[in-house]
Amino acid sequence: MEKNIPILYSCCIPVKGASRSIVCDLQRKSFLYIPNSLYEILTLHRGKRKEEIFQTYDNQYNDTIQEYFDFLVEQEMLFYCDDSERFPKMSMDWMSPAQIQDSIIDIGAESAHDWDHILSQLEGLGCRHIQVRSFVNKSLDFWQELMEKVSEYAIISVEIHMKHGVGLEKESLNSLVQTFPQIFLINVHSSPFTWFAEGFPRRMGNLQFSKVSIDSETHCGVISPSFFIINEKTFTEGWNHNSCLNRKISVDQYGMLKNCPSMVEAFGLANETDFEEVLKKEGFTKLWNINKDQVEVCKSCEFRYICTDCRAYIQNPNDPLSKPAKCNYNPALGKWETVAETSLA
Amino acid sequence: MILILAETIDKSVNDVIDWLTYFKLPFLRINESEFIQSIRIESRSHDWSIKLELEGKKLDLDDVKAYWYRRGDLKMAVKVAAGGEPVLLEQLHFHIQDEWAKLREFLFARLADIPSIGNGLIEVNAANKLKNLQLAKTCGLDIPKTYIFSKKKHLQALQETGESYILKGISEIISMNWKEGGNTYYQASSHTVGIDEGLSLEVGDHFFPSCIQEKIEKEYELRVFFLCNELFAMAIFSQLSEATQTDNRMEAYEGQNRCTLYKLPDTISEKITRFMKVLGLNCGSIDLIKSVDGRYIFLEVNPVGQFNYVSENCNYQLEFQVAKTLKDFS
Ligand code: SF4
Repeated sequence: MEKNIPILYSCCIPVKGASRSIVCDLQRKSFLYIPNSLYEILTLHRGKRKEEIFQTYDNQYNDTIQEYFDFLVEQEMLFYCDDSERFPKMSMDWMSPAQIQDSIIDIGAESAHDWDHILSQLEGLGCRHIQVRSFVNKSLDFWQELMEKVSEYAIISVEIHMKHGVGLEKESLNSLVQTFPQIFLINVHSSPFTWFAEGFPRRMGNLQFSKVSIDSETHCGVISPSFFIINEKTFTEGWNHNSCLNRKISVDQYGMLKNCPSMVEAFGLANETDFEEVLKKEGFTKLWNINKDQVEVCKSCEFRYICTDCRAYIQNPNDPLSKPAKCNYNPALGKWETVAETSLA
Repeated sequence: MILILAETIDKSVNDVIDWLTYFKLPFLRINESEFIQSIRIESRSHDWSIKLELEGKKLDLDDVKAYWYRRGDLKMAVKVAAGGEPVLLEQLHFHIQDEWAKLREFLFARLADIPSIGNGLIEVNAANKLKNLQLAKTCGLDIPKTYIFSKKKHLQALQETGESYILKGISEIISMNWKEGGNTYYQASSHTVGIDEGLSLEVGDHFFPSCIQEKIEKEYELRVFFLCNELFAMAIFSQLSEATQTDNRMEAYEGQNRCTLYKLPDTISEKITRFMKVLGLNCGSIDLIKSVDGRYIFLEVNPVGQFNYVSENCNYQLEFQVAKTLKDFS
């Protein structure tokens, strides 16, 4: 039989936006813009023979459609087969053995965190990734001791945002990064200069100095293409759940247990609480299932499954389903209206 | 308790263990680097009591409700006392090794009584590519035309047919290591070469028996993870990159090959299921080729093949499936 049924590889997933679409390539971790008309062809007419597709459009656009297909073949996103039954779509299910996947722990002037309690609770819930943000300057000894503690637990990656100060120099921090392979990133904020190592960002062990100051939890929730993540895990999670808050637990600078430090609702003092009990509390997980299909504006955005989200800083505080406040993208126009503020935190 | 025999570094094992932890199922992992320090076995009226001690770990087979033979081994350091006639000591050493081999075999046989995924004993027997080709054929699967030659003239005769053939290892990947300037280098190679390349290597008139297979023009390769009669298939379009036409295991390219979720025709699934059943394996990775002329051709089965690549690219959640199977067994 002739191979004339165009099929996208199962890792290439088309997502429609208001003015244009993208194909997300989960294997090669990139995306490609396509017109909405091509999105329609790829989804509505999936599994049909090429000639049938031509006919659907009254053979009016054969050349254009052929060009589209040639382009996708060239990009290695599309191939032709003779039996579409052999090539089903990938399941969009998401599952994870971690009851908690990541955690943010903030440090302010008044913080008195019981690190052993917090880390052992996180470990017990399967949490392997933590982010520690300090709004105040802490000594090198403090970070050294903290990392020693962290390495006693099954934490595999740590992102640290520390405030610049005496003793936190390139050399000393570099040796901290070398000593603890769990460190994914040390970002020294409020620094008088900007610096990052050659080859940044690496898979692990990154160090950077940034002039941007992070003096409170409000430095979060920024939406920018540089934060887009494209892989099978995050895509399916974003498809089903909230890409920021799902399976997250945080400790704010005052030691309160929250879903995210920027949220108002708190669930007791972290130092004294059994985290697993908190997960059972009604309310703690209420935002976990808000995916971007439910969020105003985002629901018509082609980036909705590769974009992060923020439910703490939203355009309309009275509408929990309104768009993230710090996003400048307008899906209707397909344009970033102003340059997004790019801060790592 | 769930017993896992594994190698020290294995992402799939770690991922499955995360799920066991999620299910709150206790487990004991024994890596191939760990040696048994003491053994206590006692015959009982119907079975045996078997207790092993490893450094920091105790294993009582009565507690094992399910078992996963992933890779690795049960190992014991075989030592003979120093002193004495070297020739005799050597013979004694061989004898003690034999003693251990039988004891090890017995341990794996008793482990095989426990509901399990994989099986240490069968894994040893199953890893014969030629026997498996024969069995696959008996089960109705197509196999590549296969020859084993040791004379140049046979090889040349084949070459004269004008068809394409490839040279292939009969056993496993060859891995070699050597020392140079204080560093140890490793090289593992399993790659398949075309017969012309093979002949140009100045083959003598007689050579060690070598396996030659017809080169199949492939539309795509198929990797199938088999777990308790369920098949999870993925097609690999390796022909996209020229360099991988003969064997896509030429590592650097594998990440780039296009992979796509695949559903095997029922008839092929049934044949593979029958093959695995006769082989006595409930888990394994099967390699096939879909030829340009539309045939499904069985290449080989790996009882302990890596599966995270298939799992991730097709979102099959195989780590969960394995953990769930162990949970259901226990
Ligand atoms: S509109 Fe929504 S989904 Fe689109 S970029 Fe902005 S925040 Fe992300």
